[in-house]
Amino acid sequence: MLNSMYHMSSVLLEEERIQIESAKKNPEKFGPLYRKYYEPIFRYVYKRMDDLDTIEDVTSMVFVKALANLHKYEFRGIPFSSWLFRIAKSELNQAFRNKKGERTVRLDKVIIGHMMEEMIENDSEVNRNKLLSALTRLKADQLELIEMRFFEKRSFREIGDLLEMTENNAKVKTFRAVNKLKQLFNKLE
Amino acid sequence: MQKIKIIIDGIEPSKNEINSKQNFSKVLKEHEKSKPIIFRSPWFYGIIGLSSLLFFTLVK
Repeated sequence: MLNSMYHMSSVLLEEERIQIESAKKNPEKFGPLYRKYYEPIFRYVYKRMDDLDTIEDVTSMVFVKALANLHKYEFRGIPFSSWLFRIAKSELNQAFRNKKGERTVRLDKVIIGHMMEEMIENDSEVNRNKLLSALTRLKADQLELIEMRFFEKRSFREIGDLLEMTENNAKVKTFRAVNKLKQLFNKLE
Repeated sequence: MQKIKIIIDGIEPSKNEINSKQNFSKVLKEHEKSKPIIFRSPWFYGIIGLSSLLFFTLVK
């Protein structure tokens, strides 16, 4: 399922562009964008962090930073959310560096089941534990790709925009991340 | 390697729960606080420097 908030029509994109331009002149006009994107940004942070107070702080800081840097923002025909998610990624990393929270991966048994299918393995208790262990051994950028593609069901186009790479590059890198996960999985006893 | 905590089948906050945490006034306040103070800006020193130079050149 594609993220409908990301894959928006040109009319909605134009509407968003107008909102951004007016917010550049008057910060109070940033309100509609704040209300529209608060939940997706909160969820993005929530899926990667454990402490609720810090999650709220990081989410809030994303919008403070966005507002402070809005004058530098250039509309490139892609949703404003890509830019916000990039700020969120950077704020999360800053919070982890400051030891304000622990890097967390939140997933459910359904997602684990889908991952087992992707790995062409039986969905047994032993294999589940092996998969979770392999996930924690991935490099940060590979884990991010797996999370975005398989846990959050983002399209390669969206992943590319969020991670500042082409759609094709996002595909290739995700494929490599899955291969690495398979290798780590197979190495585990 | 970064330590990673895995949470399986944790409680997902509802849309209402998340949106009740919104506080746009706080964001605006923080934004105001984070604005650079004029005398910390390079523009300020540039203008002061140029005016001083102009002043001394004229006085001479």
